[in-house]
Order: sequence, then structure tokens, then C-alpha cells
Amino acid sequence: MNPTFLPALRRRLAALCLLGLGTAASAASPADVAPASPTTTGHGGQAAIGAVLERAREAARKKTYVGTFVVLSANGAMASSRIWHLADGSGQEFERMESLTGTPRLVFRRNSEVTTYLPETRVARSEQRDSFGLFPHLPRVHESDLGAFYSVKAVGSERVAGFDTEVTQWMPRDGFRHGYRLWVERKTGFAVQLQTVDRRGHLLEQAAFSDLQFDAPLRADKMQQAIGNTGNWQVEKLQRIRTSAEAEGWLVRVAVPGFEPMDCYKRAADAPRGAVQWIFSDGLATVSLFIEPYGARPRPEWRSAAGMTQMVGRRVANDWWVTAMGEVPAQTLDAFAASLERRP
Amino acid sequence: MTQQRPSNAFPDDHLSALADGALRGEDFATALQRLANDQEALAQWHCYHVVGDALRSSDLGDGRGDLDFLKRLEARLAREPARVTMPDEVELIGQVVVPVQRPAANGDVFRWKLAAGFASLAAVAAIGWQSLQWQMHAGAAAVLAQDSGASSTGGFQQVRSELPSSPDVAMSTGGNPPVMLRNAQLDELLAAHNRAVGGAALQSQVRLLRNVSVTEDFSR
Repeated sequence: MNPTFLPALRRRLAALCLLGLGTAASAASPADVAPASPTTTGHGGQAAIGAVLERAREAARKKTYVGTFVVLSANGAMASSRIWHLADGSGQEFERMESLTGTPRLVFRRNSEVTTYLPETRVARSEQRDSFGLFPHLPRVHESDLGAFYSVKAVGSERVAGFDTEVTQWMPRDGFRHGYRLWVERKTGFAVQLQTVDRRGHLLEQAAFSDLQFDAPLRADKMQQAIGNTGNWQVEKLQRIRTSAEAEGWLVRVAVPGFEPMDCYKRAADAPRGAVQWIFSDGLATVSLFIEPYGARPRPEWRSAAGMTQMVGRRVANDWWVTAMGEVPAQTLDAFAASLERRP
Repeated sequence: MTQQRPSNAFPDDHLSALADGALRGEDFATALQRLANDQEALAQWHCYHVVGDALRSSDLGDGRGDLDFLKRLEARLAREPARVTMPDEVELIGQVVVPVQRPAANGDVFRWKLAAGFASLAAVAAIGWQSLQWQMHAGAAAVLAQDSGASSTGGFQQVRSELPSSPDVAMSTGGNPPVMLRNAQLDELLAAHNRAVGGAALQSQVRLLRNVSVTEDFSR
């Protein structure tokens, strides 16, 4: 090996690090893209505004639609996908999502069964999911609690993807969460655009349908067939086992305001006691704590971000390691890591 | 890569800077001239691309390879003359790298992809995927973390991720400058987190795509 290689590699790794930090920083910086500037109309009572989310969840489940979906990050990154969603009227749901940018990927969902197809590697991953829809943990959080941590108001109406929409916003009352602006189609309540903003209202991320067609003539068997013959694909079945933080010996000593424990999973039956994914939500934002034994080797604590998702790795309770992540400010994750304890 | 570089006036930093697209003007011309005349410099320039490629691509992100692996990789690559012909490479650099103005030159993964054509062939073949493992092997996060690069992670289980991109992790290593990691296990956690967030409709699509966005971001 060339003796000049190692120093050069070190410089390169350091430069990569700076790049990563720069990416995270830019993602958190005020958006170049100006958020929509709806006019305040002040119509609609607080209760009606609060019901917007639940109505949007219902509409997403019960409407049949085809659309193209575009996500734009504050740092200028963009991605899109095509979505076909069929609700057959009897409560059955079929959904196909195809990424249009980045790695080719097809996701097919039948109710709670989700299969992700990766054509490049001919791998299909199947799994059962419990949580669905827009803000899936919302139904388990009291509406009054939501109001305690978000300031909700209607901010006008706009035309998006060819639809007349009502715009509402949920601004955080503290520094433990981000804010949201939601554009819902006036007649159906269907969410056509969602922005995530920081406390000052600066855009962090925007997701929207660029085109959307309701009641398209879809057929479940055709949607499945479009994926093609997957007979010789390698199928991986993801499993996870529901457990409880109590059974696994975990508690959060000082609750992070607004965040309630939701679900707790082990990845395998033979996983060591205590190694879990513990999920928290305030109704809108979700935090995952992945807890595992610390292991024999020293592990440096770290902090990073992937898009809007913040991540930290911390040693907890002496012998354990937590990787916390969520679409929340980094300090929220710090608060979780600092409060995590073994039950006596 | 096994011999000491001839002691000419051209600093090694310039090769690194060239790979980053950070050279301009006279320095750029000099660097290209050297690549054209110095196979060793060419191999080193290529190696920088391979390193960057492996750091950024989830397909190449297996951390079990150490620098010996890179050495063998380079030796193998050296026997692939068809893919290291100078004119094509120089032309590509001229077309793509020079016009791009970037404050953080390492971020332009597209230039790394110029090398991917030959890097991926050998590197993908060297990667042995293993099925999903929940168990977190101690030290797995230390993929490429040792700045000497000499310590391999023997217990590391490569996990396959449905996500197209790996989050890069900045790790603080005592008083030393932090280094950037790729961690397929972190990919897996991110995927699990995304599953917790929801399975359909607007918001979860955001999450699926958000991970694409991370990758796309590097191509700008």
C-alpha cells in the first residue's frame, strides 16, 4: 500500500464527515422554497380543525386514487413516486407504490400485508404492519393532548394538484417537535400536501401530489400482476414480536412532554431480554428507541441525520446502547436517551 | 500502490483534490497531465474514487473489507485495462467535474460514479450478503471507523436494507476529527422506524421517499 494512501484516506474520511454534517445542517436550515402563503380566514372552530386529521386519515383509507407524489427537502433534494390505491368498499385496501427516482422499488400492500420488491437485486421483503395512514398514532392520543402541544389554526384555502384545498397548521408549543401544515381537499378531506416546518415556520420538507385522480378504474389483480413474475425472487419475511417495555425491563424516568409510549417490539423470539424497538408518539411525530446490549467493544456516541430524521446513539443504563431516531429536533432524542432507565 | 511515489513537485493533495473536483486552472491541467503519464498516480486517483464509492453506496457498504481488500481490489482493477483507458476518463472529468461549483466537493457523488463502472464489478462480487439479523454485533458501527483502517470488523453481519441509501454517521473519536461511517444496521433501524410511522398514505410515502432523497441529495 502506498504510504501516502492512509493520510489521504484519513483526510477523505474527515471531509466526508464534514459533508454529512453539512447536509444535516442544511436540511435544518430555512428553506429556499418559499412556503405557501395562505391568507388567514379564521373560519372553523377548534374542534372542526382538530377533526381535519382524522378526516384525512379516513379519506386516505377509503378513497380509490392514482397519483404522483413528490417530496422536496429544504436542502433541494427531490424524489417522487407513483401511487395506486384501491379501496373496494368492503374495507379491503390494495396499494401499489413505484419509486420514480433513486433505486427502483415497488411496494405492494394488501391491507396490513406489505411486500417491497427490489428489482435490481430481485429481493422481495414481506411483512405485517400494524400502523397505517397519516399520523398513524393519532387515534391513540387524546385530542386535548394534541392541543396542549400544538397550536392549531386554519390558515386559508389554496389550489393544489387541481383541487381546492383547506389549509390548516399545527405549530409546536415547545421545542420538542416540529410543526405541520396540511392541505386537504375540500370535499373529501383527502390530504394532498403536507409540509413539515420548524418552530419559526421555516419549511423543512414538503410532500405533495403533483397529480391526483380519484375513483380511477383500478383492479387489485391487475395491480399485483403489474409487478410481474416474482417466482424466482428471493423472499425475505420480516418478523417482529410484540412485547412491552415493562416486560423488557425499561422505563422512561422523565417523560418527554407530549410523547406517549405506543408499541414495543422484539425483532426475534430469541433476542436478548431488553433488546427492543420502543415507539413513542405525540400524535403527529414518532420517535423510535432501538435498545440493544452495549457489547464488548467501546462504542463512541454519535449524532446524525438522514433527511429530516434525526438520529443519536447513546450508552444507557451502563450495559445498554440506544439508537434513537425520529422526525423531531435532536434535543428530543437527547431527552429520551437521558431518561431511559432499567426498571429496578 | 506498493512503491513510494517518485519525488516530483506534484503534491499528493492534488490527486485527492482532483478526485474531489476541487482543482482549477493550472493545478487541474497539471493533475491531468500527471494522470496521463503516471500509472501509479492514476491508480491512486482511482482508489480515491473507489473509497468514496464504497463509503456512499449501500451496495458497496460492507465494512468487512479492510485495506488489504482494497489492495487486492486495486490489483484486480489494474488488470482491467479496458476500463482504465485515459482518454475516456479525462474527457469525463472535463465535461462533468470542472463546471460543477461546489463548496463541499466530496458531496458530488456523480463524480464518484465515474469510477463505479469498474469499481462495482469487483466490489459487488466481493460482497457476501447475509440475511437480516437483529442482533447488533458489538463494534458493527465501527465500519471503517478506525482511521488506520487496519482493524476489520470480524463479527459484523451485513444486513440488507430495503432502503436505497445508508445514513452516514459522524462519529466522534476522542480528540481526533470525527470520521464518516456507513452502517447498514442503521439502515435497518431507519427502515424499522419508518415502519413504525405508518404503512400507507401521504406521510409514510414521505418516509419512503425521504430516504431516496438522502441519496439524491448527494448527486447534486
